[in-house]
Amino acid sequence: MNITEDSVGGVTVLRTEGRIDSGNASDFESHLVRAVGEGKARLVVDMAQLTYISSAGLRALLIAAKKARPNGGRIALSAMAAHIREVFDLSGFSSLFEIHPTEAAAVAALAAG
Amino acid sequence: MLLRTRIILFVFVTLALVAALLIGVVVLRDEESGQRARDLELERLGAVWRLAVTEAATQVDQDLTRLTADPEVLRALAAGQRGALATRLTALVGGGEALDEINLYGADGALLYAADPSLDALPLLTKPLLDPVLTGRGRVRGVRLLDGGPRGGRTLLTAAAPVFRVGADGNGRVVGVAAAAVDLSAALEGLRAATGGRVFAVGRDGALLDGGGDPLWPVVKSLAAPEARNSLVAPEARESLVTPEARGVQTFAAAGRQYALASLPVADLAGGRAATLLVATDVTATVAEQRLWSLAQGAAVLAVLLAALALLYGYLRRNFAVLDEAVRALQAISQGRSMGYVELPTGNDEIGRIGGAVAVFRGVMRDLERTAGQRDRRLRRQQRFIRRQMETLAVTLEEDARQSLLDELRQIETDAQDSASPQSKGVGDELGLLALGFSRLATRVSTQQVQLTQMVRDLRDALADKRRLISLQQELEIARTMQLSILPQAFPDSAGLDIAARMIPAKEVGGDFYDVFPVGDDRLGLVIADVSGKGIPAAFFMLIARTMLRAVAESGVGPGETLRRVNTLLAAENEQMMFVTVFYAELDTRSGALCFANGGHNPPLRVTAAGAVSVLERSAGIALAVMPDMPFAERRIALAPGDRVILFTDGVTEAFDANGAMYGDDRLAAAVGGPQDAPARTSLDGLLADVARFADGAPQSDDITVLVLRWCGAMGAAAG
Repeated sequence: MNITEDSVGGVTVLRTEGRIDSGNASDFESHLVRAVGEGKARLVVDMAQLTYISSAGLRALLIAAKKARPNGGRIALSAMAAHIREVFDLSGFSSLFEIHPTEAAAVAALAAG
Repeated sequence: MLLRTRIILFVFVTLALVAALLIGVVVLRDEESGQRARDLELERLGAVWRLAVTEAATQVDQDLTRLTADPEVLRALAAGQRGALATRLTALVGGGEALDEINLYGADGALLYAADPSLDALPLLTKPLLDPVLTGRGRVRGVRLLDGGPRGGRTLLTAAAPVFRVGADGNGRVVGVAAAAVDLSAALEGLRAATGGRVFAVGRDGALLDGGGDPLWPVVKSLAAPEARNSLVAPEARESLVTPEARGVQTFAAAGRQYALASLPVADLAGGRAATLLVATDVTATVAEQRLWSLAQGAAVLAVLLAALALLYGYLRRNFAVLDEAVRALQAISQGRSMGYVELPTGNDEIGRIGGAVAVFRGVMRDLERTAGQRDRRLRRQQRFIRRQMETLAVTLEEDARQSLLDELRQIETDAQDSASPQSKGVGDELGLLALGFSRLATRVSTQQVQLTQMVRDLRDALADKRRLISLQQELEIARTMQLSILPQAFPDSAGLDIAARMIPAKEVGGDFYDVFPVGDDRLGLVIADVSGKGIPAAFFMLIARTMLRAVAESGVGPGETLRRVNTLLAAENEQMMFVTVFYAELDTRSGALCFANGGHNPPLRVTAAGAVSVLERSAGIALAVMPDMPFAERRIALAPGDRVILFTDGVTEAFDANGAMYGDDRLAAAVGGPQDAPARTSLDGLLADVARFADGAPQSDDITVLVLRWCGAMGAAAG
């Protein structure tokens, strides 16, 4: 797993790459938590280069979302591959997160909101 | 400059001074003897001159005697008859006499006759000369210069004698004096004959009297008249006049010959100088001989000087060779080489004593060196011993420390041999060296001791940790056994049913679980679930979820409602945001109808007896515990006899091989598909074996759980 952090128009973008499994999910989680922070975070997790995400990775996303919600923060996901999208669909997580086809779209959506 | 050279130089200078002094003395003496020889020569010439004068005068006397013996002359003289005298004498002299002048004086001293025909002819004898002769006792012989007169100055050789006449008594009495003179040349001829030299005569006034025809005269003239050139004499006169040195000898060279020119003054009978004689003698042979002698003398002195120097040099060289030997020996000793033994001659002189002292000194040095060598060898033995001991000690160190210690020892030894190295300077001596080696060794040993102590402590801690780990592993093993034991291994034995299930946790305990339990009389609850994460937390959550699910399901509210209730219960207090995907189905064991709901789980596969594979319809539902009060849809299908339903977790489809490839849905379908009539157990084992083959030893990343349900239907008993 490799994560790079970027800021586009006031929106934090975490670009994930490779595999997120139970071995590195805690790293992913700490990245997310740090990105969400204390304030009204607007975070896009871009999954264009992500090849696999396990249930531990999903849980990290859940934790970040739960942490963001009381402060009015928002988390959007973007550009996930078909098989990852299926994981989200199967687990019902598609209904829990904003999902955009591209990073730009996600950033635009958060920036507008 | 070497001492030897200095001595030779000093002696040379001294000898040269002495030689110069000697030569000076010899030259002075030569000078003196030369002077004496010249005086003698002058004396001799004087004597010869007097002899020549006497001879000439004797001749004159004889002529005079013949004249005065004439009786007429005697008588006329005694009578004082001038006329008779003149007549008689003219007759006599005209008879061939060689006399240049004749004077006859009377007894009273009056000039009675003069051959000179002039009226005032100068008398040959003056009164002072005449008086002694008149007494009858004296005679006159000598040179007489007659100045002035009509014939000018004449230098004559004069002789005078008394004239006796025997009287009546028989006694002779002086009746007059007869004097005669001849030209000086008569005596000069005698001198020439006696000496064999060239004779010149110069008058008092400097005019040449005789010898002008001699070819030597121009040279002699130039020698004899050096002062005249500075006088006030007129140049033309100067040419002809010479003023020779009064009395002396000088040498000159002419026409390749050496001559000695003696000048001899000739006294006038009346006083003063009448003329000067110059006699040139050929001394070529003598001068050559003298020069030869001088050369021989100089050569002899030089030879003696050189011989003395050569002797001195040889002597010094021989003696200084010994001294040099001693000096070399001393230098060798000072450079620490006393073994190159050279026998030094000893003797009683200073050099011999030095040689003896050096020999003694060298002996002492040799002894010292021998002692030092023994000490050195002893030290080296001790060093070797200590080194061996240190090496023995070093063996007990671990390899790296031992090697670097040995390297250091070698380095110290090398530095010690190289006296220029700072190490050696700092160490000073062998014991310091050993001390340095020991201190290094001690440092190493104590460092290793500290390391060992630390290692022992670490080992003890590690042991404690290991013990704790073992205890934890034991506890985990217990947990694993417990977890596996709560997963049912035996399933309801029914004619129409064949169930097999298995959970393979990725760690000791897993988050997956399956469950099979009766719901009421005719229904069978089938569960497969996957808790997010793995390990202990997942295992705990799994226990809770399983217990709740079973408790709620057994109340018979149906799959959808069961999941809804369990979800709400689990979501209520879920700080950790754990969640679980659950597929829950209830099978009507009478009809084979399967009613199910899905909480975010992978839809199971249905495989018909013919081998066709299909995915059970997806129904709405989210993973449990994420959000309360979520709806879960129910679906219902009818199983045909021979149908199999494969429930699995994503540990199967997401099993990875070593290259990172996923097992995937297609491989799963291929593994379970195809017509078969085998027991569920066989299907289960076949699928797990296929997954294991695919992973090919790659580490299992997630729990793998599979449950196979085979519906045999009403005909199942017969078929099964």
